[in-house]
Amino acid sequence: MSQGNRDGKHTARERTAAMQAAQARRERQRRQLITAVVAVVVILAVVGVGVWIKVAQRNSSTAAFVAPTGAVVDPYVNAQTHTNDATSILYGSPDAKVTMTVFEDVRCPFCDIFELGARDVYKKYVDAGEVKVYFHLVKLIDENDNSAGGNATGSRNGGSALACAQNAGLFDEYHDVLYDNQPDETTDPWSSAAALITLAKKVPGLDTPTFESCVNKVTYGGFVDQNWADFNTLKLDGTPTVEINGTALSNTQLFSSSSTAGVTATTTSDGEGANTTAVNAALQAAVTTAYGSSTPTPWASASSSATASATSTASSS
Amino acid sequence: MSPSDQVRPKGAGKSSTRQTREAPPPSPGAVRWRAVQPWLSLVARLGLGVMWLYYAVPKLSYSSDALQLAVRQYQILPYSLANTFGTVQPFLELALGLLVLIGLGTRLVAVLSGLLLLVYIGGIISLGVRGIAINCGCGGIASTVAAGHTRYTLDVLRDVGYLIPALWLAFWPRSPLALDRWLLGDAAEPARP
Repeated sequence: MSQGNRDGKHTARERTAAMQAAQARRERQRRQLITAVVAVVVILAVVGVGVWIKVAQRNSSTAAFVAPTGAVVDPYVNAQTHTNDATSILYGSPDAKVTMTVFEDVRCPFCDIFELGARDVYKKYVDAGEVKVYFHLVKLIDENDNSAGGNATGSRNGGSALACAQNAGLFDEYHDVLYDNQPDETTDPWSSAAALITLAKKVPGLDTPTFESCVNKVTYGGFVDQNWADFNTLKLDGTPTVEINGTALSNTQLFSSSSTAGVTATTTSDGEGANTTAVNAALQAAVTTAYGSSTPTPWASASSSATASATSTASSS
Repeated sequence: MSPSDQVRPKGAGKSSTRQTREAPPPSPGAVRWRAVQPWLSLVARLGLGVMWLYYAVPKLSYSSDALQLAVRQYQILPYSLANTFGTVQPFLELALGLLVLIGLGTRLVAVLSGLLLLVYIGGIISLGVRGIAINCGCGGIASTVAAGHTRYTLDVLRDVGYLIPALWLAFWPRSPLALDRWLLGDAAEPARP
């Protein structure tokens, strides 16, 4: 038995084995491709069916709603929603030339920071009859709160209760009380009508049987739902969204990490305050544009610093 | 060269192409690895699958509005893309979770899972860098929180932890109780002694 003969047998055997291995590898690759394709098809099927269901649900969930007394169409919102629905609560004189649109959630901590800090600013302009505010009450925190199995209702109930107060002509007063007593974001005491009625006792004349019945029945829940739908139609980022004559203020204009002016004890723990200077400057600029320089300055203390920025902002808007 | 050849432990490779009597027996370490690896991969599959379902299932009941807002709050994608991603995301997670649990296309699903986790990690890091305070880390549903109440470092570490089973399965997808084994048959594992 020669050495060469043995090598020859080896090579033949090895060649057969190599061919078989290559064959097996091709078969393996073919099956792996099939498996991957099947997996991708399953992923696309699950995603496709799921999205289809969600879209169908969304299209069927738009229902009619009742609006409180004096609710109006906000032209800046209606320009995009085209519903002609009276979805906003008007605060201030209808004749005011400058409009401020506010999307807010009574449970939202940043709305609280803005409101506690900036309400003294915008109310001066409202009192002077130069600015009117369109308030839109939404339920952002409810929608994102999964503590109650995704069924939190404090934003919706609170917004509805505010609309009940609007019926009684006490929207502004109750608005102040709610923000002065806003609960921690992670708790939802306002899902209970009793808590909202207790707070209403702080506003003289508000706690009537009519008001209580309105709060208990969540009469204006649909009003809040519609505003939430509009919020999403407008593709807003969050609450508060504050627009002056349809132009949104930036987060830097709304909030200041250094300024704590006008911020009460409930918000200073976060080191955040409303940027009252920037909010005032923006309002002043819009008022100056609308009424001309002869308009009396409603907030004398801020006039000196605001005049310079007023001219620059006015030219850009 | 298919990927599964590369993952075969050293020592087992030669014996498959040359089944001769004088072939050296696989080392004890390789034998032990060959016995243990499929079960470790099964554990990784269960872990990754349960993780995806744990985050996907609660999101299924949310309205598409809330899901879209959650993605918009990251302020990374343009509106329409953010809304699309927000709507698709729970079902993508659901599909990945189901597939990895039944073991269908394990390697592909593991790679996709890893990529999706990297997207999440990148998103959270970018929030921290840009100083946007949202309450992420509760399973994708986000809401704004007061500054100083975020815990992005923990969230990133958690997601990096989820990457471990995904990476493991990308390298060693073979495991028992998997549809892959049934579909691929013995061809998937030619080197089994």
